[in-house]
Order: sequence, then structure tokens, then C-alpha cells
Amino acid sequence: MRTRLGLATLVVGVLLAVLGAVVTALLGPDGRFVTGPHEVRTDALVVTRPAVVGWQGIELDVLAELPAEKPVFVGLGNAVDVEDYVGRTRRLVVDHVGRPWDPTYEEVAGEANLDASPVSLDWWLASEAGLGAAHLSTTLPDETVEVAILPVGEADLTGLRVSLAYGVPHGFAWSLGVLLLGLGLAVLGVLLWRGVPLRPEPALVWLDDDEDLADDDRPAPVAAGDADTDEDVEEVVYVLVDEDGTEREISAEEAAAAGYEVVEEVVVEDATTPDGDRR
Amino acid sequence: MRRPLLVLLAASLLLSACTVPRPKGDQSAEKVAATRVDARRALAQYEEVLSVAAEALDPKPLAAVEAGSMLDIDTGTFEVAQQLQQKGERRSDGLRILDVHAPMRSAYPLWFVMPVDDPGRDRVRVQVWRRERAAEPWKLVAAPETVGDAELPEPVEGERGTVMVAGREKPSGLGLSPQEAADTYAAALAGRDAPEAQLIVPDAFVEQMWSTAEANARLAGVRFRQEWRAENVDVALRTRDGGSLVLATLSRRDTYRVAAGRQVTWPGGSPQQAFLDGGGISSSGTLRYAHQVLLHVPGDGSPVVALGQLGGVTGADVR
Repeated sequence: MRTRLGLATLVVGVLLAVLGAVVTALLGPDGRFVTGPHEVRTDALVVTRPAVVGWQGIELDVLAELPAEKPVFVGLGNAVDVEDYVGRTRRLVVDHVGRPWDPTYEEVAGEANLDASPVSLDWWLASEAGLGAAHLSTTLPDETVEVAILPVGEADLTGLRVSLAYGVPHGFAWSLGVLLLGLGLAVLGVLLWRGVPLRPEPALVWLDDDEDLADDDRPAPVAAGDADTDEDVEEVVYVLVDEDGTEREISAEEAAAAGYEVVEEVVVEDATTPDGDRR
Repeated sequence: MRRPLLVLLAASLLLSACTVPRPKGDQSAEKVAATRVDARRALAQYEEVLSVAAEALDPKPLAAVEAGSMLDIDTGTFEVAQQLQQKGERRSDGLRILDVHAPMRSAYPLWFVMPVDDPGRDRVRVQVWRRERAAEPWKLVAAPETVGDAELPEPVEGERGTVMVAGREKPSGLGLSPQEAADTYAAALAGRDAPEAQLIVPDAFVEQMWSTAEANARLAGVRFRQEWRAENVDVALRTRDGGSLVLATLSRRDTYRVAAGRQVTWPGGSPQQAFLDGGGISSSGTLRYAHQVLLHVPGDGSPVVALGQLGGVTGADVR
């Protein structure tokens, strides 16, 4: 039983440790998987399909850069809003990103300009705009969303470079925790598997039910805490063996009161002297 | 020793699972048409623009916050006020939002219904807001005022606090569909003898329209014709009684053909007189009206009830 439990614990511990190590290595101390910058060849706007950002709880960073300090806008919006806003405009639709960077695009024809400036709209879930660069950092919500990189004013997206980063909130700490937990379980599993006792075994004092024992031979009851203060407290356990061989544990008081005879004394060598030497 | 370790392991794995990102599953695009924040923001913007327009008696700014028959009615009201050099009667100050009924929508246009308390007029307005495109702002398209102590029926609730939209079909097999209800009410307004009059509850508005038409028809030397038509119903909510709450927009045309030597006039200060430049109709002419009527179609098939109304003159053609 103990061997099987130890083996199971060892296996689970190793698996957790491997998982934690892989995720820790992937995310790094900042908890992010980063890729870029990558050039995106387009002069139209860029928008993702909902499936590209189809996970909730992921922390997403999008950095869009343009040359010559051209204004650029990056926004995350509900797909109903984004699709209606850009739906009639010429655009580059990102169908798939892939890892680390293997995107597939679809070019959609349409009008040259958006109906309104993106910075004037109130339905963006998260957005950033800037000259030459815009950095959006957000956590993906539980609704169908799209990411859009849009030109502002008369500018276009020629020369666009995009960097992506995504990760789990506190991912590095959690993965490190899983790694350590796995290592701990693995060590515990080895100990259980090899039968190493996990705590010191107490001193056993065997008693026999002999009523002829003289008073001087009766053991003095030893209670925990009565030991010399300069020495480690030795736990004494009294085990009574009945005539039919049944063993049962009794207290020191019961042993003294009944006047049992000590037939065998077993001491476990795990105590130290005050100088720290093993006894 | 083992038990605390197992508890620690289980707790760690459970806590880890809570932070693990997960795929969203169904990626169909949909959203709640409007939140309370959206509604408050739209109303605040509206009150600000209306205040400026009313102060200047200039309806042009209203186009930024109103649309459809609402814009037509208020523009007509402002033009009447300009003609008569009076401040507009319809001022909305300190409106208090009573509720926001927004459906789940998968595409634009978006809309929501919002009953508001108008303490200045001591009545409840049922505002209907519409956002035609994502690049456009929210605009008020209807605001019928409830009559008397009329209580609005409870709408059927959907997911995430939304309300269910009444489709084009009959809600429960017994009552009328939203469009049928609007068409029936418009047809009933044609006269007391109209067959559709049996399918509605004759309210004060209906009685007033019947009386006005009957009085105009009795004018000597005047041939009078009144036409009613219901526009397409875009806003209808399912109600808990199995029926629907319908916003019906009705257009009305009153046409007069006047015999030579006669003239039809209206009282001083009336909207009709303002639209006719202070005069009347001497030969032939048409006055155009728009009416917004809030209808309750009971789910048990009983007659349609009008819960609120708002209307006004929107134009005049005189020959």
C-alpha cells in the first residue's frame, strides 16, 4: 500500500514538475510569450477574426508601430461593434496568427476611409493611440471580440510593424509554484516508495502481566516533560502483551498501578546530547 | 501527514484551475444593445443639446440626438414656437431613469427602451433609443407619454439582464403580431364604423381623432379625407402575459378640398395655423402629422390597448 502510494505520488510529482518547468521556461519572469516586431504589408486597416482572440483570461499586449511618427490606433472591441464599424472599409483580416508568428491574412475590398475617427467612439473595450506607436495591454474578456489596428486621420498603415505578447495573469509565479509542488511531491513519493519512516519512532517498553513483581522492580511512570531539561525528551510507550499474545498500548500510570513486569525495552537511537553529538 | 499534503495539493490545483485561461467556445457575435451607463450617457447628452436648442428656438441641433418621427415631431414643435415666438412646451429637465430594457443584438442597428419619469410634466415617457451604425451616436426616436395611471407590462427577461424581442409572428397564437397590432390600430382610427375598431380598446386619443374627423367632415363646402398608415414596426418586446409591447409609428394626412369663396382656418396659436403661415386652406391643402403610440397586445387575444401617445404636426402642403 505504502509502495503503491509512493509510486503514484512520485509520478504525479514528476509530471507536475515537468509541466511547471516547461511553462516557467516559456513565460519567463515577466509571465509573457513575446513575438515581434513583425512587418505587416498593408496600407489598409488590420482587423482580426474573433477566433484569433478566442481565449478569455489571457493577458494580451499589442504594439503597433509606424514610421515617421504617423498616428496609429489599436483597439479591442466587441465583434458586433467592430464589424459594423470596419465592415464597409478596405481591410486586411487576420484569420490566424500561429506560433511564434505564422499569420494568414485575407484582403477584403471596400471603401477607402472609415466613417468616423476611432478615437471618437465610445464602445471600445480597450484602446490606445499615439504618434508612431500605440501599445494596447488588456485582458481578453468573456465575449466575442476583435482587435483592430487603424489609421488615424489622413495617415495610412504603410510600414506597419506589430509585436505581440500574451500570457496568463501571475503565470510565472503559478508555474513556479507548480514546479516546486511537483518536486516536493516527487521527493515525498521517493520516501514513501523506499519505506523511509517519515517521523521518529517512539521508545517501546514491553510489559508482561506478572502480579508477583516486587515494588522496586515496577517501572516508575514517566510522563512527557519529566526528562532532564538538558536532554531531548524521550517518548516512552508501554505495550502490554496479554496471555493470548494480544498487544495493546497502556499509559505509564496504568503500568505502575497494575505492577506489571518489564520484559523487554527497545530504544530508538535518534536523540542527541547537549553538545549536539549523537547519543 | 498525508492528509494535509493531499489537501494542499488539491487546493493548489483548484486555485490553479481558476486562473487557467480557457477557450470561449461559441464565437457568435452578439452583445447587450446598451448598458445602464450607455443609457445615462445618451440621456445626458440629449438633455444638454435639447436645452441649447430650446433656448435658441432652433431645431437644427436636434439632428445630433434625435431621428425619425421624433425629430419630425420636435422640429414641427420648434417651427410652431418660432412662428408664435413662444418657448417650446416640450422641455425635458431632470428626467429620472426608471428602467432600461435592452435586447441582445447580433448586428446593428441597436436599440433599447427606457421609461423615464418627467417630473416637469408629471408623467412617464417611454423613450426608445436607436443606434443606426457603430460610427453614429445614440439618438432618441420615440417618446410616447403614458396616459393616466397606465402601467407598463413586464417584459420577458433574457440572458445577462436583457429583454426578449417580440418577433414578427403572433406571440401566442391568440393575439396579433406586432405589425398586425400597429396596422389594426391605424385602421381603427379611420372611424368608429371600421371593423378594426372592435379589435382595440377605444382610448381618449382614439375618441379625439374620431371626433375631430367627424367634425371636419361636417364642414360646409369642404371635402375632408383623413388617412392613417402604420410604419414598419422595429421595436417590440415580449411581455410576461404572452403578448407584446409595441411601438407603433403612425403617419396621418388630413386633406381638405375647399369650395370657392370659403377657407378653413385654425385657432390662433395652434400648430396648424403656424404651419399655414397664419392663414388657412382656401383651395386645397394637406396637413401631415406623426404619432407615436405605445400598444400592449395582450397574450390572451383580448383587444389591443394604447398605453401612451405622442404626436404633432410635421408639415403642410397648400395649393
